[in-house]
This record gives sequence, structure tokens and C-alpha cells, in this order.
Amino acid sequence: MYGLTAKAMKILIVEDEKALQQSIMQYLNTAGFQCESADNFRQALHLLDETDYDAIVLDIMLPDGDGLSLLKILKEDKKQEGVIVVSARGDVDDRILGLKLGADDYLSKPFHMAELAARLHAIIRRKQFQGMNELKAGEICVNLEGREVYVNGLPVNLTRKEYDLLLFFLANKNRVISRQALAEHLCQDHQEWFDDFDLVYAHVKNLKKKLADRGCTDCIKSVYGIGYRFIC
Amino acid sequence: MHLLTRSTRTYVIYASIMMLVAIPLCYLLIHYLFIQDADEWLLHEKDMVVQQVQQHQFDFSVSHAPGWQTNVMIKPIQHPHEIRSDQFYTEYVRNPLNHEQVPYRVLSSVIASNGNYYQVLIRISLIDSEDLIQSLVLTIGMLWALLFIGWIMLSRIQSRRLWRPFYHTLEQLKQFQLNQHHALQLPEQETIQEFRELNQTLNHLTAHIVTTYQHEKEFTENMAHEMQTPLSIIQSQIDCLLQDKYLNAAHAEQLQHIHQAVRRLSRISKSLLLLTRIEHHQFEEIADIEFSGLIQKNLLLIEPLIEARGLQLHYQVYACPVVRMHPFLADVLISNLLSNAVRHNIESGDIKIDLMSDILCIRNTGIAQPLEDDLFNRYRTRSHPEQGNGLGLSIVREICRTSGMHIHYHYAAPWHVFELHFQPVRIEDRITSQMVQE
Repeated sequence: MYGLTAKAMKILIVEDEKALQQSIMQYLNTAGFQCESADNFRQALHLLDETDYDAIVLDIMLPDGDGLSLLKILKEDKKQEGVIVVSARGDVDDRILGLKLGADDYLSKPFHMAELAARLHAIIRRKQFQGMNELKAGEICVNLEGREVYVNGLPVNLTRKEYDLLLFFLANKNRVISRQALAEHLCQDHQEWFDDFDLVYAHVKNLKKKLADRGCTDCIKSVYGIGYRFIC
Repeated sequence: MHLLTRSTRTYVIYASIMMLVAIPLCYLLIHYLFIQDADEWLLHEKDMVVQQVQQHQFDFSVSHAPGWQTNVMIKPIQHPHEIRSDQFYTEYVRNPLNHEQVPYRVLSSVIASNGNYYQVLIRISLIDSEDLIQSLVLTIGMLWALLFIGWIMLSRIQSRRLWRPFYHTLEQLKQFQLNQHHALQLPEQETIQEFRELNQTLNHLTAHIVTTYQHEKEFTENMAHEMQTPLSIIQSQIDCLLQDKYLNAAHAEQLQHIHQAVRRLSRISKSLLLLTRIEHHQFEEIADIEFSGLIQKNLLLIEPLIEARGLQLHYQVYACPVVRMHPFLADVLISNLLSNAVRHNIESGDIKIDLMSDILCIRNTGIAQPLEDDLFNRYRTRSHPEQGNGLGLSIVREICRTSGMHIHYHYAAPWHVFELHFQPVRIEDRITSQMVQE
């Protein structure tokens, strides 16, 4: 498992679309997070007063207020929660505005649950684990500060993309990750590559091979025609 | 040709023809009148001579000597059969003083007196009248020329004043830009009805265009945004379903198809939104982009793919140009072009990238025939929907258009060549050498 302690990380999901809210909660709960949800601005403020969260998933457009104003309030109160802003407006300007107001990350709808999980992990790592920067999963050990990976104590030389990919897998351990999710994670803004699963195959194949060379053979498994599952 | 030049030209041609025709005509007419006058005077002289001869008063001593000391010359003749009626003609006589040819009008006649016959020649110098005619014609010509010039200038001045509102409207129309989002504000108080109506119509028309343009933009934006939330609900449900341990392969495949369709829908709407935003010049922020770094960054992503497909990449950097444009658009531009070169390549094909000081040339092997001319148009490659959404190259073209670049395609077997021509920023003009954020 991730983290310093065995305590599950607490996440607040502020999202007015009930169905989306529910499936985010379902996915994150089974991924080892402890989630609570708010449908609107007021409810979110109320919950934030009562509880300290590790991270917040914040929809910008809420029925009774702008998600960005909630973000401002959080920052004025010097709250330590990491915030991922989620918006249906995937504009560059919105992203920049969100990040300027102090959001830690930005996701435009529609997003993959695996991506959300990976980003939440990344934020919480940044916020909480200063000094403690090792990530262990089975035979694999990742030194987050030095961006180094060891398998059974032996260093694995990964490219930046392969390293990203490994962290993505680690954040979604034992979950089925679709090829699309991987493709979009790999390519980030370059959406012309999103349909190119060969790109995913190529990167995953290289990563698999490098891990296998150090004796970690079966950690990345193909699942039907859907994608992969990282097992450890 | 300018409106003024055109109307003036007609006048000038008319005036020139008139001058060319009328001045000789005028000369001939005046000349004819003078000759008539001279002939009448000569006849009158002859009558005087005849009278003097018949009354034996004529002094032959002064008039019969050759050399024309006087203007009358009479000499006796023997043969009456030479008698002819009066004859007029013009002859030129050399003036012994200044050797000039002097025109004379001459009357030649035969008269009878007391059974004797005389030939009479009477002449009158035309030199004064010639001079007079010339001065007259010159004066008339100059008057006419002045008249014409004045007329043309007046009409030019008046036309210019008359058309001034029109030129003003034209200038405003030239400066009209849709993406500035405001209609023309042309004066509607013109005194001339046509111009007033023209301005009113244009004001109305541009207002309408701006509104329509705005609506189209809003529609695309709303459409793109509103679609994302329902899509993300579908997406999240699929992600959860994929985790279901009772999921079988058949269901997984179906889910996969739904999944792909959702992503495609989302992407098409985002691409369209991007296109619309580029067209509406909503990417105003500029930075100095180093192309070589940008290309390197994009190549890093696709290197494993190039390897997996057995493609040979030849990347040559001949210069390190810096281009001023929106960083995001630069990224989209480069990655679209590279993606195009990889995606439409063949197994074990080649990609050649040459970066020069003002040209980026990307060549790739592919199908052995040139692409159609409309390759930069939207939704061209409908036959291969899995290969991108058919908007990539039209986005490339739009970006070029708004960033002052040009993209050319040609086929030189076996290469499909895409040439991007850009205007590099000179070293001394560079602002912060900003790299595109990853």
C-alpha cells in the first residue's frame, strides 16, 4: 500500500452530477481511498469545516456557486488539502486560472478513473510525504525524489515516460486499466495520439521487458482486449 | 483603376479628340474666309484697272515692267484666243530681303480695250492674313485647352468630394474584422441617398454577421462543454464496470466499443472547439518557441512507437529557429504533423525531419500516390476513422493561418512532403526564451 500510515486517505468529492459522483466514489473506495461527497457549494463548505481531508475533487460548475470561489475560500483559510479541479470546460485558460487560484491539478471531463486515482496519489504524495519518498510494491521500489526504480534491489533504467507509466500502474494496483486511459495518460495534451494503442503497446512492452530483466516478470497482465492490470 | 481616373480618362479622351479635329477645322475655315475676302478685293481692283485702261488713264510705264514693283502687272497680248475668264491662284514668292516664301493671292485676267488685248495680273500679299490666322487658331486652341483642363479639374474635385463618403465606407469595410466582435458604425446621415442607404445596409449586414458569428461560436462552445458531463458519466460507469470481477470477455469487448465511441465523441467536440477558437483568434498570448526543443519533446513521446513500427527516423537540425506564436498552438501544430507522418506511414518506412532557419520539412513514406488536394479540409479521411478524427490537418492549417505560417504538401515519390514555412524571430528581437510547458 501507499503511504506512511495504514490510514486510508480521505477524499471529498464535490460534484453535482449524482451518477458521476457515485461512480467516482465507487472506484476510489475500492482503490483504497475513503470518500465523502458533496452535491453543492454549501454542503461542501459545511463538510470542509467539520473534517480535514487529504484531497478534494472539485467540480468548477456547481448549482449554487462557482467551484473556483470555493477554491479561493480554501486558500484563504490556509487549508492544506490538495485540490483537483474538474471541469467540463477543457480550455487552456480555465486550466491556468484554476492552477493560479491554487488548485494542485486540473482534469477536464470526461476523465478516466485511473487518471483521477493517479493524480490524487501524486498530490497526496506531494502534500504529505515530505522526507518519506519511497514507494514499495512487491519487488518494486521507487525512489520518488531521485526518480529511480529498483527491482529486488537492482536499479532499472527507465525513460521518463516509462517511469510515468509505472507510477500510473502503481496508483491503480490490481485494477483494470483500459488502453485508452493509458494512451491519454501517456500523451497528455496530444489528443491526436489517443486512438493509437500501438503507442501504448510499445511503451508497456518496453516497461515490461525492463522489469522482467530484473526478475519482475508477471506484474503487468493483459486483460481481454481492454487493457492491463498491475498485480503485486 | 480608380473611379476618378476612370471618369477623368473619358473626359481627357473626348477633349483630345475634339482638339485634334476642331483646331484644323477651325484653321481651314478661317483660311477659306480670308481667301474669299482677298478674291473679292482682287476683283474690285480689276474693275478699277479695267476702268482706267478704257479711259486711257492707265500708266503702263509703272505696270508692265517685270519684277512686280507694284501689285498690278499689265502686258499686251496678240492672241485673243488666249482670252480666258478670271483665274485665281495662290503663289509663293521669295522675299529677296529675308529669303522667306511669301504667299500671294493672284488674279489673272485678260481685258480688251480699243481692239488691243492685255493680260492683267493683280496680286495681294497674304502674309498678314496668314499670321493672323495662325494667331487666331492658336488663341482659340489655348482657350479650348484651358476650358478642358478647368473642366476636368473641376469634375475631379467634385467627384472626389462626391465620392468621399464612399471611400470612407470602403476603408472601414477593409478594416472590418469578424473576430473583433463589433459591427461597422458607418455614418447614416449622408446627404446622398445612395451612400446613406449603402452605409445603412452595411451597418445592418455586419451587425447581423457579427451576431451570427457569435452565435456559432457560442453554439460550438456550449455544445462542446455541455457534452462533456454526460460523457464523463458514461465514462466513469464504464471504468467501474471494467473492475467487475464477473465481467466476461464478450461484455468487456462491448464495453470497450462504448468506451472508444465515448472518447471519440469527446475528442471530436474538443477538436471542433479548438478549431473554432483558433478561427476566432482566441489564442492571442504569444511566446518565442524554439522549434527544435518542441520537436525533441514530441519525438520523445513517439520514439517507442517509431521503434515498434520499424520506422527509420532521420532528424536533421540545420538551424535553431525561434518562432513567435501561442505555445499551446505550437505544441498542437508540431505533434499533429509528427503524428501524421507516423500514422500514415508504412511498415519499416522512413521519416525525415529537416529543421532549417525558416522551413520545417517533414517527409514520410506512405501510400504510393499523392494525397488528394483537399487533405487540409475537415473530415477528409472518413474511410479510416480509427486513424484520428480527420481534423488534425485542418487544425494544422488553421494554426498556420492565424500564426502567419504556410503549410504546403507535395508528393515526390516515395515521399509525402509537408513543408512548414515560418518567419523566424531574429535573435535580437527575442523575448524570454520560453519553452512549452510539458
